[in-house]
Amino acid sequence: MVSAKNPVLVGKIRSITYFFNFTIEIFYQIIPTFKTKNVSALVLLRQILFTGVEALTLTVFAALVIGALIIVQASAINPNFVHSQMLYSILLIIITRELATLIPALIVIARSGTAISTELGNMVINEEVEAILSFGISPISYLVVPRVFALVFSLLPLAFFFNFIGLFGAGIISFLFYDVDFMDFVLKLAVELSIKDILLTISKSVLFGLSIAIIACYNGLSVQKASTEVPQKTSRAVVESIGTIIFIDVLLALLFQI
Amino acid sequence: MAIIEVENIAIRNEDEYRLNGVSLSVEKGALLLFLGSYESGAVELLKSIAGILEPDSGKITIDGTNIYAAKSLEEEIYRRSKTAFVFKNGGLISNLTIMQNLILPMNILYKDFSLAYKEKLIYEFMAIFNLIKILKKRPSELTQDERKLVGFLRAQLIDSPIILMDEPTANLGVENAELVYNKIEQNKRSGITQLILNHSSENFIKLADGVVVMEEGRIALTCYGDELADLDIETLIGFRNK
Repeated sequence: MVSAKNPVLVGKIRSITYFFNFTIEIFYQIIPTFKTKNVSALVLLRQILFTGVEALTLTVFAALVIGALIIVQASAINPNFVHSQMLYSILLIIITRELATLIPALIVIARSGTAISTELGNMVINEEVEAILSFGISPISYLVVPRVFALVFSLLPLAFFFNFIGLFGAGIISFLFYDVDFMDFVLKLAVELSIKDILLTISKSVLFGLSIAIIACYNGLSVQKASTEVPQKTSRAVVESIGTIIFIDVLLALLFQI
Repeated sequence: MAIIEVENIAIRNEDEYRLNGVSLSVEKGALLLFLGSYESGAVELLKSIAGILEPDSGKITIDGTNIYAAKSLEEEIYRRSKTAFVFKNGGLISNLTIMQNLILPMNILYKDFSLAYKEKLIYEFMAIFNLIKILKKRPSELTQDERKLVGFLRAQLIDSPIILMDEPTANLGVENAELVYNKIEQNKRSGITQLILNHSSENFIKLADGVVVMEEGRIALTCYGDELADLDIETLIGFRNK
């Protein structure tokens, strides 16, 4: 039985309850956000620009290098690997099912998750959140909902870009250095690709985007008074986000195996 | 006629009370001066009345309606339009320009006004304080005086019948403090209800219709009307510094 006298346990339960209520409030505020779109659209566009567009270069670079490296490393172990049918299954498992969502999610955590948590934390300290509240705007509707949408809408294309460029990188390396016909590579990959792979990418991207945004916003807004709390909350947001996406990744991998 | 009714409100912050059983009635058009240290709960009381800090218990009504019981977004916005809050450090949104900062509350509260009309209104207000040149700047590019003044003007722009202020003249230069003081005096003549938390009580006491001294989350002393003439400023300062 939970003892009410255990302050650590009580604190943890209270924190989980706050987080749960915060998440429910986000969904509750979606309609009011659309009603006040004249003020929240700018926040959404800025966040999509920062999270999606500005992260594209790093995502493309990472995808290209990782796709190429998979071929190089696998061929070092088994030179016939690139000519086997297994190449396509392995590429789809590693790139499409796992890395295409995980790497962009990690990039988004490093760039946007930290930025959101820091920005919101500083806004609390500078009484900006209270100012927004005083105008009759819910901070959840003005600050959180646009960021949640932006992260989901940004992560999904980033995952597809990573997927496409990663596989393209693997194909180019196979063609240039291992004498694999590029068109043959593309066709075999297309045959091997299943609807399940695409569904997994979509569901992971949406859930990763949701959790990164909610965790970053929650930690940013839970700053109380001191500016020293901001880096602490930001670091906490990063750790919690990484833990959460790994948990979701495992859960979805298991679900899609059934 | 009371425009603000505060009934037995309490705010708890973890294990301590920031406000404990506070009740207050404010007449329409009155200027009330609040005195109290940072821990006194005066800021929390003003923020509760402004709809920023919801009390854990008790009720706050403005014009007869409970401000924390709005049933729709429209109702909530209508209720919030009754009050404006001046933050101690301006409370400006750092990633918006000054013009965007001033337009933001108007976009919510006065959706039907055209953008041109809102901008005209902003230019007129900013001209009074000679601040037109900073409209395209961001808050971080302004001096502390300018940030405070913009925060003060933003609250005036909303055209609310009640304005609550957290130290509107603190740390302001003499000239700017005088401009703010004059605007508060003008507001009083216009019948706007003003609740001011200010440590320079010596200035505002001349304008005040009442003084509320707060201590440890409770109202320790209230003085209205003729009682103010007999009030010893030194006693108030003593309360304030406790």
